[in-house]
Amino acid sequence: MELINRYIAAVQRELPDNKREDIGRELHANIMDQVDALSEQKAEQGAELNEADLIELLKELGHPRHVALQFSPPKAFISGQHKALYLHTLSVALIIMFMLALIQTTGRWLDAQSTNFIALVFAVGGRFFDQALLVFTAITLIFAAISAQQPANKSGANQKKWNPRTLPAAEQKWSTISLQDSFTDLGSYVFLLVLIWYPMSPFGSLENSLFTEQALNILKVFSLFIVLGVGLSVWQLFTRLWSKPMLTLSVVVNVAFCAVFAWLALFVPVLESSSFAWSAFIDSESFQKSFRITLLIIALFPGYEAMRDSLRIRQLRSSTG
Amino acid sequence: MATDPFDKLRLELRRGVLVLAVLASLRKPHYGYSLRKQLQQAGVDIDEGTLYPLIRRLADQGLLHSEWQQGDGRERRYYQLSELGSELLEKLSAEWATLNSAIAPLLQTTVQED
Repeated sequence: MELINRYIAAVQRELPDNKREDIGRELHANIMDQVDALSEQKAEQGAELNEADLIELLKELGHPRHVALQFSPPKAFISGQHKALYLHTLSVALIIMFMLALIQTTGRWLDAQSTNFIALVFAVGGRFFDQALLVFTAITLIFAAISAQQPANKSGANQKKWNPRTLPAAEQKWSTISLQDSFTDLGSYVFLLVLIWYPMSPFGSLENSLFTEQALNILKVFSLFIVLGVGLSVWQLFTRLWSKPMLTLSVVVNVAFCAVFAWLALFVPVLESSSFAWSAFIDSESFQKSFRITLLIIALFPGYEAMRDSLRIRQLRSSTG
Repeated sequence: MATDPFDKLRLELRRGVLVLAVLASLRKPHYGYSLRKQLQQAGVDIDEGTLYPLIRRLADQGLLHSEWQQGDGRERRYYQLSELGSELLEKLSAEWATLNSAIAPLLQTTVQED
Protein backbone atom coordinates (compact mmCIF):
# COMPACT_ATOMS: atom_id res chain seq x y z
CA MET A 1 0.00 0.00 0.00
CA GLU A 2 2.96 2.28 0.57
CA LEU A 3 3.67 2.13 -3.18
CA ILE A 4 0.11 3.21 -3.97
CA ASN A 5 0.26 6.14 -1.55
CA ARG A 6 3.58 7.16 -3.01
CA TYR A 7 2.11 6.99 -6.53
CA ILE A 8 -0.96 9.07 -5.60
CA ALA A 9 1.22 11.65 -3.85
CA ALA A 10 3.36 11.88 -6.99
CA VAL A 11 0.27 12.51 -9.14
CA GLN A 12 -1.04 15.09 -6.66
CA ARG A 13 2.24 17.00 -6.75
CA GLU A 14 1.69 17.62 -10.49
CA LEU A 15 -1.88 18.88 -10.02
CA PRO A 16 -3.16 22.41 -9.25
CA ASP A 17 -3.81 23.01 -5.54
CA ASN A 18 -7.60 23.15 -5.87
CA LYS A 19 -7.79 19.71 -7.51
CA ARG A 20 -5.20 17.79 -5.52
CA GLU A 21 -7.30 16.39 -2.73
CA ASP A 22 -10.36 15.49 -4.79
CA ILE A 23 -8.47 13.77 -7.61
CA GLY A 24 -6.16 12.00 -5.12
CA ARG A 25 -9.16 10.64 -3.23
CA GLU A 26 -10.84 9.40 -6.40
CA LEU A 27 -7.63 7.94 -7.81
CA HIS A 28 -7.09 6.08 -4.56
CA ALA A 29 -10.61 4.59 -4.73
CA ASN A 30 -10.12 3.54 -8.35
CA ILE A 31 -6.73 1.95 -7.71
CA MET A 32 -8.05 0.06 -4.67
CA ASP A 33 -10.85 -1.37 -6.85
CA GLN A 34 -8.26 -2.59 -9.32
CA VAL A 35 -6.15 -4.03 -6.50
CA ASP A 36 -9.18 -5.94 -5.20
CA ALA A 37 -9.97 -7.31 -8.65
CA LEU A 38 -6.35 -8.36 -9.15
CA SER A 39 -6.24 -10.02 -5.70
CA GLU A 40 -9.34 -12.05 -6.57
CA GLN A 41 -7.80 -13.06 -9.88
CA LYS A 42 -4.60 -14.15 -8.13
CA ALA A 43 -6.55 -16.05 -5.45
CA GLU A 44 -8.32 -18.00 -8.18
CA GLN A 45 -4.87 -19.00 -9.44
CA GLY A 46 -3.86 -20.00 -5.90
CA ALA A 47 -1.41 -17.12 -5.53
CA GLU A 48 -1.17 -13.92 -3.50
CA LEU A 49 -0.83 -10.36 -4.67
CA ASN A 50 2.79 -9.23 -4.33
CA GLU A 51 4.78 -6.03 -4.83
CA ALA A 52 5.67 -6.93 -8.43
CA ASP A 53 1.95 -7.11 -9.28
CA LEU A 54 1.37 -3.68 -7.72
CA ILE A 55 4.28 -2.22 -9.66
CA GLU A 56 2.86 -3.64 -12.88
CA LEU A 57 -0.60 -2.24 -12.08
CA LEU A 58 0.76 1.24 -11.39
CA LYS A 59 2.91 1.11 -14.52
CA GLU A 60 -0.19 0.32 -16.55
CA LEU A 61 -1.91 3.36 -15.09
CA GLY A 62 0.91 5.49 -16.44
CA HIS A 63 3.62 7.82 -15.18
CA PRO A 64 2.28 10.15 -12.44
CA ARG A 65 3.01 13.23 -14.58
CA HIS A 66 1.12 11.76 -17.52
CA VAL A 67 -1.85 10.83 -15.32
CA ALA A 68 -1.89 14.32 -13.79
CA LEU A 69 -1.88 15.85 -17.29
CA GLN A 70 -4.84 13.69 -18.27
CA PHE A 71 -6.80 14.86 -15.22
CA SER A 72 -5.81 18.48 -15.59
CA PRO A 73 -4.65 19.27 -19.15
CA PRO A 74 -2.51 22.42 -19.39
CA LYS A 75 -4.13 25.49 -20.92
CA ALA A 76 -2.32 27.38 -23.68
CA PHE A 77 -0.78 30.58 -22.32
CA ILE A 78 -2.04 32.49 -25.38
CA SER A 79 -5.12 30.87 -26.91
CA GLY A 80 -5.04 29.93 -30.61
CA GLN A 81 -7.86 32.40 -31.21
CA HIS A 82 -5.70 35.33 -30.04
CA LYS A 83 -2.34 34.13 -31.34
CA ALA A 84 -2.37 35.96 -34.70
CA LEU A 85 -3.35 39.27 -33.09
CA TYR A 86 -0.77 38.72 -30.34
CA LEU A 87 2.05 38.18 -32.85
CA HIS A 88 0.99 41.21 -34.92
CA THR A 89 0.74 43.48 -31.86
CA LEU A 90 4.09 42.24 -30.64
CA SER A 91 5.73 42.92 -34.04
CA VAL A 92 4.35 46.45 -34.30
CA ALA A 93 5.24 47.28 -30.67
CA LEU A 94 8.78 45.95 -31.10
CA ILE A 95 9.20 47.97 -34.29
CA ILE A 96 8.10 51.13 -32.45
CA MET A 97 10.53 50.31 -29.63
CA PHE A 98 13.31 49.88 -32.19
CA MET A 99 12.50 53.27 -33.72
CA LEU A 100 12.63 54.92 -30.31
CA ALA A 101 15.96 53.25 -29.56
CA LEU A 102 17.24 54.39 -32.96
CA ILE A 103 16.19 58.02 -32.38
CA GLN A 104 17.63 58.19 -28.85
CA THR A 105 20.91 56.50 -29.69
CA THR A 106 21.52 58.28 -33.00
CA GLY A 107 21.11 61.62 -31.22
CA ARG A 108 23.83 60.69 -28.75
CA TRP A 109 26.01 59.36 -31.55
CA LEU A 110 25.76 62.66 -33.39
CA ASP A 111 26.54 64.60 -30.21
CA ALA A 112 29.66 62.53 -29.71
CA GLN A 113 30.73 63.28 -33.33
CA SER A 114 31.65 59.65 -33.61
CA THR A 115 32.41 57.87 -36.87
CA ASN A 116 32.25 54.43 -35.30
CA PHE A 117 29.16 53.01 -36.97
CA ILE A 118 29.60 49.60 -35.32
CA ALA A 119 29.40 51.28 -31.89
CA LEU A 120 26.13 52.89 -32.99
CA VAL A 121 24.71 49.51 -34.08
CA PHE A 122 25.63 47.95 -30.72
CA ALA A 123 24.23 50.91 -28.78
CA VAL A 124 20.92 50.75 -30.69
CA GLY A 125 20.79 46.98 -30.17
CA GLY A 126 21.49 47.25 -26.43
CA ARG A 127 18.90 49.95 -25.82
CA PHE A 128 16.35 48.10 -27.96
CA PHE A 129 16.77 44.83 -26.06
CA ASP A 130 16.40 46.62 -22.71
CA GLN A 131 13.08 48.19 -23.72
CA ALA A 132 11.87 45.28 -25.86
CA LEU A 133 12.06 42.89 -22.93
CA LEU A 134 9.64 45.02 -20.94
CA VAL A 135 7.26 45.48 -23.88
CA PHE A 136 7.37 41.75 -24.71
CA THR A 137 6.53 40.83 -21.11
CA ALA A 138 3.72 43.39 -20.83
CA ILE A 139 2.04 42.39 -24.12
CA THR A 140 2.39 38.67 -23.39
CA LEU A 141 0.83 39.07 -19.94
CA ILE A 142 -2.05 41.16 -21.30
CA PHE A 143 -2.84 38.54 -23.95
CA ALA A 144 -2.48 35.74 -21.41
CA ALA A 145 -5.04 37.52 -19.21
CA ILE A 146 -7.39 37.96 -22.20
CA SER A 147 -6.96 34.27 -23.13
CA ALA A 148 -7.75 33.24 -19.55
CA GLN A 149 -10.92 35.35 -19.49
CA GLN A 150 -12.24 34.38 -22.94
CA PRO A 151 -11.60 30.67 -23.37
CA ALA A 152 -14.57 30.20 -25.71
CA ASN A 153 -14.23 31.02 -29.38
CA LYS A 154 -16.18 34.21 -29.81
CA SER A 155 -14.87 35.00 -33.27
CA GLY A 156 -17.46 32.74 -34.88
CA ALA A 157 -19.82 35.62 -35.57
CA ASN A 158 -17.09 37.58 -37.37
CA GLN A 159 -16.36 34.61 -39.63
CA LYS A 160 -19.31 35.60 -41.81
CA LYS A 161 -18.64 39.34 -41.92
CA TRP A 162 -15.89 39.27 -44.55
CA ASN A 163 -16.40 39.54 -48.27
CA PRO A 164 -14.40 37.49 -50.83
CA ARG A 165 -14.43 40.54 -53.14
CA THR A 166 -12.08 42.35 -50.75
CA LEU A 167 -9.40 39.67 -51.20
CA PRO A 168 -6.51 40.49 -53.57
CA ALA A 169 -6.40 38.78 -56.98
CA ALA A 170 -4.70 35.38 -56.84
CA GLU A 171 -2.13 36.25 -59.53
CA GLN A 172 -1.00 39.40 -57.64
CA LYS A 173 1.49 37.68 -55.40
CA TRP A 174 3.01 41.06 -54.51
CA SER A 175 -0.22 42.31 -52.92
CA THR A 176 0.78 41.28 -49.39
CA ILE A 177 3.28 43.67 -47.80
CA SER A 178 6.06 42.00 -45.88
CA LEU A 179 6.51 43.17 -42.32
CA GLN A 180 10.26 43.19 -42.86
CA ASP A 181 10.02 45.62 -45.80
CA SER A 182 7.83 48.07 -43.86
CA PHE A 183 10.16 47.77 -40.89
CA THR A 184 13.29 48.43 -42.98
CA ASP A 185 11.68 51.44 -44.71
CA LEU A 186 10.47 52.90 -41.43
CA GLY A 187 13.89 52.48 -39.85
CA SER A 188 15.60 54.21 -42.79
CA TYR A 189 13.15 57.14 -42.79
CA VAL A 190 13.44 57.72 -39.05
CA PHE A 191 17.24 57.48 -39.18
CA LEU A 192 17.34 60.05 -42.00
CA LEU A 193 15.03 62.43 -40.12
CA VAL A 194 17.22 62.22 -37.03
CA LEU A 195 20.36 62.86 -39.10
CA ILE A 196 18.78 65.96 -40.63
CA TRP A 197 16.93 67.48 -37.68
CA TYR A 198 18.74 66.41 -34.52
CA PRO A 199 21.68 68.87 -34.92
CA MET A 200 19.11 71.69 -35.27
CA SER A 201 17.15 70.60 -32.20
CA PRO A 202 17.73 72.10 -28.72
CA PHE A 203 19.51 68.84 -27.78
CA GLY A 204 22.03 68.92 -30.62
CA SER A 205 24.45 71.36 -32.18
CA LEU A 206 24.50 72.54 -35.81
CA GLU A 207 28.28 72.14 -35.82
CA ASN A 208 27.76 68.40 -35.47
CA SER A 209 25.69 68.12 -38.65
CA LEU A 210 27.05 65.72 -41.25
CA PHE A 211 25.69 67.83 -44.10
CA THR A 212 26.79 71.03 -45.78
CA GLU A 213 24.52 74.05 -45.36
CA GLN A 214 23.38 73.84 -48.98
CA ALA A 215 22.51 70.12 -48.68
CA LEU A 216 20.83 70.68 -45.32
CA ASN A 217 18.51 73.35 -46.81
CA ILE A 218 17.40 70.91 -49.50
CA LEU A 219 17.01 68.08 -46.98
CA LYS A 220 14.90 70.26 -44.66
CA VAL A 221 12.35 70.78 -47.44
CA PHE A 222 12.66 67.15 -48.43
CA SER A 223 11.77 66.13 -44.85
CA LEU A 224 8.13 66.56 -45.82
CA PHE A 225 8.49 63.55 -48.13
CA ILE A 226 10.38 61.58 -45.48
CA VAL A 227 7.49 62.19 -43.08
CA LEU A 228 5.14 60.99 -45.83
CA GLY A 229 7.35 57.88 -46.06
CA VAL A 230 7.01 57.34 -42.30
CA GLY A 231 3.23 57.65 -42.64
CA LEU A 232 3.27 55.19 -45.55
CA SER A 233 5.28 52.63 -43.55
CA VAL A 234 2.98 52.92 -40.52
CA TRP A 235 -0.04 52.52 -42.84
CA GLN A 236 1.61 49.41 -44.34
CA LEU A 237 2.30 47.97 -40.89
CA PHE A 238 -1.38 48.12 -40.00
CA THR A 239 -2.92 47.25 -43.38
CA ARG A 240 -0.42 44.76 -44.85
CA LEU A 241 -2.14 44.83 -48.29
CA TRP A 242 -1.29 47.11 -51.21
CA SER A 243 -4.12 49.34 -52.41
CA LYS A 244 -4.24 51.97 -55.17
CA PRO A 245 -3.99 54.97 -52.77
CA MET A 246 -1.10 53.31 -50.95
CA LEU A 247 0.73 52.55 -54.19
CA THR A 248 0.17 56.13 -55.38
CA LEU A 249 1.67 57.49 -52.16
CA SER A 250 4.57 55.08 -52.53
CA VAL A 251 5.23 56.33 -56.08
CA VAL A 252 5.19 59.96 -54.89
CA VAL A 253 7.61 59.22 -52.01
CA ASN A 254 9.97 57.13 -54.16
CA VAL A 255 10.06 59.67 -57.02
CA ALA A 256 10.89 62.38 -54.49
CA PHE A 257 13.67 60.23 -52.97
CA CYS A 258 15.10 59.38 -56.38
CA ALA A 259 15.04 63.01 -57.54
CA VAL A 260 16.54 64.48 -54.35
CA PHE A 261 19.28 61.85 -54.07
CA ALA A 262 20.20 62.32 -57.75
CA TRP A 263 20.16 66.13 -57.39
CA LEU A 264 22.36 65.99 -54.29
CA ALA A 265 24.74 63.53 -55.98
CA LEU A 266 25.12 65.58 -59.16
CA PHE A 267 24.92 69.24 -58.14
CA VAL A 268 25.46 69.81 -54.42
CA PRO A 269 28.33 69.09 -52.03
CA VAL A 270 26.56 66.89 -49.51
CA LEU A 271 28.91 66.01 -46.67
CA GLU A 272 30.70 68.40 -44.38
CA SER A 273 34.11 66.85 -44.82
CA SER A 274 35.49 68.55 -41.68
CA SER A 275 33.19 66.40 -39.58
CA PHE A 276 34.99 63.23 -40.65
CA ALA A 277 38.15 61.89 -39.17
CA TRP A 278 39.10 59.79 -42.19
CA SER A 279 41.63 62.21 -43.69
CA ALA A 280 44.43 59.85 -42.76
CA PHE A 281 43.02 57.22 -45.16
CA ILE A 282 41.33 59.20 -47.94
CA ASP A 283 41.50 62.82 -49.11
CA SER A 284 38.39 65.00 -48.95
CA GLU A 285 37.88 65.22 -52.73
CA SER A 286 38.07 61.46 -53.29
CA PHE A 287 35.75 60.93 -50.36
CA GLN A 288 33.14 63.37 -51.72
CA LYS A 289 33.42 61.74 -55.17
CA SER A 290 32.91 58.25 -53.73
CA PHE A 291 29.96 59.49 -51.73
CA ARG A 292 28.36 61.09 -54.83
CA ILE A 293 28.65 57.81 -56.77
CA THR A 294 27.20 55.89 -53.83
CA LEU A 295 24.32 58.36 -53.56
CA LEU A 296 23.63 58.03 -57.29
CA ILE A 297 23.47 54.24 -56.96
CA ILE A 298 21.19 54.59 -53.92
CA ALA A 299 18.90 56.89 -55.98
CA LEU A 300 18.34 54.00 -58.41
CA PHE A 301 16.49 51.96 -55.75
CA PRO A 302 13.59 54.38 -55.12
CA GLY A 303 13.55 54.98 -58.89
CA TYR A 304 13.04 51.26 -59.46
CA GLU A 305 10.39 51.09 -56.73
CA ALA A 306 8.51 54.06 -58.24
CA MET A 307 8.39 52.29 -61.64
CA ARG A 308 7.43 48.97 -60.02
CA ASP A 309 4.58 50.57 -58.07
CA SER A 310 3.33 52.42 -61.19
CA LEU A 311 3.06 49.06 -62.96
CA ARG A 312 1.25 47.62 -59.95
CA ILE A 313 -1.30 50.46 -60.05
CA ARG A 314 -1.96 49.58 -63.70
CA GLN A 315 -2.36 45.91 -62.78
CA LEU A 316 -4.82 46.80 -60.01
CA ARG A 317 -6.79 49.03 -62.41
CA SER A 318 -7.04 46.27 -65.01
CA SER A 319 -8.03 43.62 -62.42
CA THR A 320 -10.82 45.77 -60.95
CA GLY A 321 -11.99 46.87 -64.42
CA MET B 1 6.67 3.07 -37.56
CA ALA B 2 4.13 1.78 -40.05
CA THR B 3 1.45 1.64 -37.35
CA ASP B 4 2.08 5.20 -36.17
CA PRO B 5 -0.39 6.98 -38.54
CA PHE B 6 -2.91 4.20 -37.85
CA ASP B 7 -2.56 4.68 -34.08
CA LYS B 8 -3.06 8.44 -34.39
CA LEU B 9 -6.13 8.14 -36.59
CA ARG B 10 -7.53 5.37 -34.44
CA LEU B 11 -7.15 7.57 -31.38
CA GLU B 12 -8.98 10.44 -33.11
CA LEU B 13 -11.74 8.11 -34.27
CA ARG B 14 -12.20 6.62 -30.80
CA ARG B 15 -12.14 9.92 -28.90
CA GLY B 16 -15.65 11.05 -29.79
CA VAL B 17 -17.09 7.54 -29.78
CA LEU B 18 -15.80 6.88 -26.25
CA VAL B 19 -17.68 9.91 -24.93
CA LEU B 20 -20.84 8.48 -26.45
CA ALA B 21 -20.18 5.04 -24.98
CA VAL B 22 -19.46 6.48 -21.50
CA LEU B 23 -22.57 8.67 -21.52
CA ALA B 24 -24.71 5.75 -22.65
CA SER B 25 -23.27 3.47 -19.94
CA LEU B 26 -23.93 6.04 -17.24
CA ARG B 27 -27.68 5.93 -17.60
CA LYS B 28 -27.20 3.74 -14.51
CA PRO B 29 -24.85 4.80 -11.70
CA HIS B 30 -21.29 3.48 -11.87
CA TYR B 31 -18.01 4.09 -10.14
CA GLY B 32 -14.80 4.25 -12.18
CA TYR B 33 -13.80 0.61 -12.07
CA SER B 34 -17.33 -0.78 -12.57
CA LEU B 35 -17.82 1.51 -15.57
CA ARG B 36 -14.62 0.23 -17.12
CA LYS B 37 -15.74 -3.36 -16.61
CA GLN B 38 -19.13 -2.61 -18.16
CA LEU B 39 -17.49 -1.03 -21.21
CA GLN B 40 -15.07 -3.94 -21.54
CA GLN B 41 -17.94 -6.44 -21.44
CA ALA B 42 -19.65 -4.43 -24.18
CA GLY B 43 -16.48 -4.71 -26.28
CA VAL B 44 -15.20 -1.15 -25.73
CA ASP B 45 -11.69 -1.38 -24.34
CA ILE B 46 -10.49 1.79 -22.65
CA ASP B 47 -7.55 2.20 -20.30
CA GLU B 48 -7.93 3.70 -16.85
CA GLY B 49 -5.66 6.63 -17.63
CA THR B 50 -8.14 7.76 -20.28
CA LEU B 51 -11.43 6.77 -18.66
CA TYR B 52 -11.09 8.32 -15.20
CA PRO B 53 -10.09 11.82 -16.40
CA LEU B 54 -12.80 11.62 -19.10
CA ILE B 55 -15.54 10.97 -16.51
CA ARG B 56 -14.33 13.92 -14.45
CA ARG B 57 -14.31 16.23 -17.49
CA LEU B 58 -17.88 15.20 -18.36
CA ALA B 59 -18.91 15.82 -14.74
CA ASP B 60 -17.22 19.25 -14.79
CA GLN B 61 -19.29 20.07 -17.89
CA GLY B 62 -22.46 19.25 -15.96
CA LEU B 63 -23.27 16.13 -18.01
CA LEU B 64 -22.87 13.80 -15.02
CA HIS B 65 -23.86 13.90 -11.37
CA SER B 66 -21.38 12.45 -8.92
CA GLU B 67 -21.71 11.28 -5.35
CA TRP B 68 -19.40 9.59 -2.86
CA GLN B 69 -20.96 6.39 -1.42
CA GLN B 70 -19.79 3.66 0.90
CA GLY B 71 -19.79 0.17 -0.62
CA ASP B 72 -17.97 -3.08 0.26
CA GLY B 73 -16.26 -1.29 3.13
CA ARG B 74 -14.79 1.38 0.89
CA GLU B 75 -15.83 4.80 -0.39
CA ARG B 76 -16.42 5.13 -4.10
CA ARG B 77 -17.46 7.98 -6.32
CA TYR B 78 -20.55 7.10 -8.30
CA TYR B 79 -21.40 8.88 -11.52
CA GLN B 80 -24.73 9.08 -13.33
CA LEU B 81 -26.10 10.97 -16.30
CA SER B 82 -27.58 14.38 -15.41
CA GLU B 83 -30.60 15.90 -17.12
CA LEU B 84 -28.35 17.90 -19.39
CA GLY B 85 -26.30 14.77 -20.08
CA SER B 86 -29.47 12.82 -21.00
CA GLU B 87 -30.53 15.52 -23.49
CA LEU B 88 -27.09 15.58 -25.00
CA LEU B 89 -26.90 11.81 -25.21
CA GLU B 90 -30.17 11.76 -27.13
CA LYS B 91 -28.88 14.28 -29.67
CA LEU B 92 -25.50 12.58 -29.96
CA SER B 93 -27.15 9.18 -30.44
CA ALA B 94 -29.23 10.58 -33.30
CA GLU B 95 -26.10 12.13 -34.83
CA TRP B 96 -24.25 8.85 -34.45
CA ALA B 97 -27.08 6.93 -36.15
CA THR B 98 -27.13 9.40 -39.07
CA LEU B 99 -23.36 9.25 -39.49
CA ASN B 100 -23.32 5.50 -39.21
CA SER B 101 -26.01 5.00 -41.82
CA ALA B 102 -24.21 7.39 -44.16
CA ILE B 103 -20.76 5.92 -43.70
CA ALA B 104 -21.66 2.22 -43.68
CA PRO B 105 -22.57 2.09 -47.41
CA LEU B 106 -19.42 4.06 -48.24
CA LEU B 107 -17.25 1.58 -46.36
CA GLN B 108 -19.07 -1.35 -47.96
CA THR B 109 -18.43 0.09 -51.45
CA THR B 110 -14.75 0.46 -50.63
CA VAL B 111 -14.51 -3.14 -49.41
CA GLN B 112 -16.29 -4.44 -52.50
CA GLU B 113 -13.98 -2.43 -54.83
CA ASP B 114 -10.96 -3.91 -53.04
